[in-house]
Amino acid sequence: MSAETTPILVENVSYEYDSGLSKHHVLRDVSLKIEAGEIVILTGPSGSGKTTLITLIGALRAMQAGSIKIFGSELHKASQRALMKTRRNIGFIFQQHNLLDYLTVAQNISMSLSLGLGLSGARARTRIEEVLDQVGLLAHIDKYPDALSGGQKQRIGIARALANRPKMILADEPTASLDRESGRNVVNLIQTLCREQGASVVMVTHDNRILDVADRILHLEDGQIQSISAAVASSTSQMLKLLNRHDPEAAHYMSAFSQALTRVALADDNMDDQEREAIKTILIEHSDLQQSEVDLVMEMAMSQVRCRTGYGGQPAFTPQQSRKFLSSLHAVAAADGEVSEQELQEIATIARELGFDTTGSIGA
Amino acid sequence: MKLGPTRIAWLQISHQKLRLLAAVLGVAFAVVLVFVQMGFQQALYDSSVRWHTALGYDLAVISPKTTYLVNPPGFPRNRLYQALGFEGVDSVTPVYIGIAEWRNPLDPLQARNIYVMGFDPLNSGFALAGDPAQVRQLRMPDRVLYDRLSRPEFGPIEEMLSGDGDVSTEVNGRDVKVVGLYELGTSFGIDGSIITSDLNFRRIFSSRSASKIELGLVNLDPGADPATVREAIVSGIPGDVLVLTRDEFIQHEVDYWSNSTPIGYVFGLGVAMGLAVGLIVVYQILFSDVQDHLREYATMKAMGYSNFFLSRLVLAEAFILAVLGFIPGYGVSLLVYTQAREATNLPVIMTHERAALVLALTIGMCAVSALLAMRKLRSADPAEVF
Repeated sequence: MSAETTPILVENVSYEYDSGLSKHHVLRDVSLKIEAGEIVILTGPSGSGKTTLITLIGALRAMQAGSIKIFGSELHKASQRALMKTRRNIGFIFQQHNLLDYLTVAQNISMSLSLGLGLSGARARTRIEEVLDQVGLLAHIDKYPDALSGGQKQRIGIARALANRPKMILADEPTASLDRESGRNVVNLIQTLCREQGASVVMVTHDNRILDVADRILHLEDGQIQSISAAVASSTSQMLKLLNRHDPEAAHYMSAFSQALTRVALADDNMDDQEREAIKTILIEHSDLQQSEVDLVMEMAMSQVRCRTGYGGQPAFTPQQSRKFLSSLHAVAAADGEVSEQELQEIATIARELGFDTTGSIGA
Repeated sequence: MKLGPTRIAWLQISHQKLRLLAAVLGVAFAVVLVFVQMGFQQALYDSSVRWHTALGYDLAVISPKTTYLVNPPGFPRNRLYQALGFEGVDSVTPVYIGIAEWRNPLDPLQARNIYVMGFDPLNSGFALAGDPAQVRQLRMPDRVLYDRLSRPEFGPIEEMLSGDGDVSTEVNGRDVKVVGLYELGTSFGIDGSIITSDLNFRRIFSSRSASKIELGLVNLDPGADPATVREAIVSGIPGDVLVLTRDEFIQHEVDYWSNSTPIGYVFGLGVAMGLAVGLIVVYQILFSDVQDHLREYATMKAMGYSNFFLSRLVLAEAFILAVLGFIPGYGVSLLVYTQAREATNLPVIMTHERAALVLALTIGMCAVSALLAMRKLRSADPAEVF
């Protein structure tokens, strides 16, 4: 795909806030590429720089270093006017709906229509009706925003962003002010409509419940994009530590279950989806665990199973990973001064269980 | 349904009705303030030149020491007769002016200063004094004509005249009889006036000599150019008099009131104050309006609207406020004018020119307020709506 049609190409972007007394690096050398039609979620703790990044991508903030190309046009050192034109090709969905409360729903949407598609009169009205129908609020076309619920306003915000048929949607915490159900509806709506229009989406969110709509998740931490595994590891280990501290009984109970399940699953060497669902139901009925706790137990067990069986017939590890794994284990064994025969045997067993090629393995 | 800046501005400011009402009242208040100040200022000028416009003349002769016509110093009557000899001059009218003490005929203890003009009833220039029959009566001793628009403190002369037809009172300690009425009106310097003959004038002011007059009226032959004749007279007679055309004579008086008395300044200041008050009120309203809508403006910027568009929006708001405020302000001013006219007999009159001027000033005032409030627009940072 040529650079001209790549919706978002970010290269080596850094950004710092200068409070006068100290400089605060918000983004360090961030690079990323988002393809047409891709839905990307940007997560990270507050202060990680995700809002800064999305405002830079949205041409809402002057760049400092690096390069951002939106549909091929460079934003760094671009004029105010050029930035303004870039913004017209982007649909923004805000944390709060940011509707103009003195305009009706139709007028709010036509505010963006008259800029982008340049529609007015009957054709604008048709487009407004069309897009309101898509978000299921056609009946409210001539109401003022005050007469609508939070979720409805956010859906109007989506209609406004999509009315112009932009090729890119930027959304900032679109579910932040909504309850679980309306949040879910809003995200599903963004997903469906953007897929229909083939628009790329970058969505900033804290809300883990909506991560599943993403084609790709980018995790920002301290101004840098991290691998998803590092992100999950850091938050999971933290959560597990918390659980151990505050409710050790539950922690033990769950890990016991996960171990047991692992063994059961490994014993018959096969665990398909149907079996998983059945186990889940049984556990919920008999174990005294909440559904979310059962999910966790299953997930931990499955991760154990997967590491032994691989997925889709592929071995779980590459030869290089295998070598690193084994040399790490040997180093661990050697950490107490000497490597016992017992330890070496244990390592060999593990390697066998994981299906490693132990020929030519690194000796003690 | 094209949403231009004006339409959006209207939707925005009309959304909060109470706020709009407050804004409109604020502008209306400023408009009334300016109208009243201007009305009184113009009334001052118009009333001070009542005599200048009512008398019949082409050139006026006064003493160079004359500051204003209420109490002018005299000059030799001969100068006027000398002027008679110049090419183009048809006739001259010597006029005597003085301030006398008038007793209210119903309440003799109440004495007020009244403005007295004396002229030879055979001369021209006093069409304002009434028909020739009425003027002819002035040839009798101690007869005067009374301005029916004089302040009521001089007495109900008009009613008394129409009643038993005979009004006598004391002027400067001398018994005089009012034989008729004319209509001129008061000014800031003159509460009321009487007209009489030159001879009667010297009876009232017994120390005045006939050879010293305060004002000379010069009437020209038809077709003679006042400026040319004036040049000729000025170069031909001694320089102890000032010869002025009608316009110059009127301007001379206006200049005195506007430049040499605090009154002109005070009214000028009043107009400025009115505009300043309006400016502050409108600025305050627009500023808080912009402040309250910053988030929306930032959203609009994020959507791709330009600063220019938003500036036009604020300017349109200012324009709407100006026009909406002007209408009730104009209405109230008309009422105030009527009230003031009835209470003071001063010519406080609304003119189209003034209405247009004040409308322009109001729009200008609102535009300046808008420009000031627009500075706030820059703080609408589209990056902050995220």
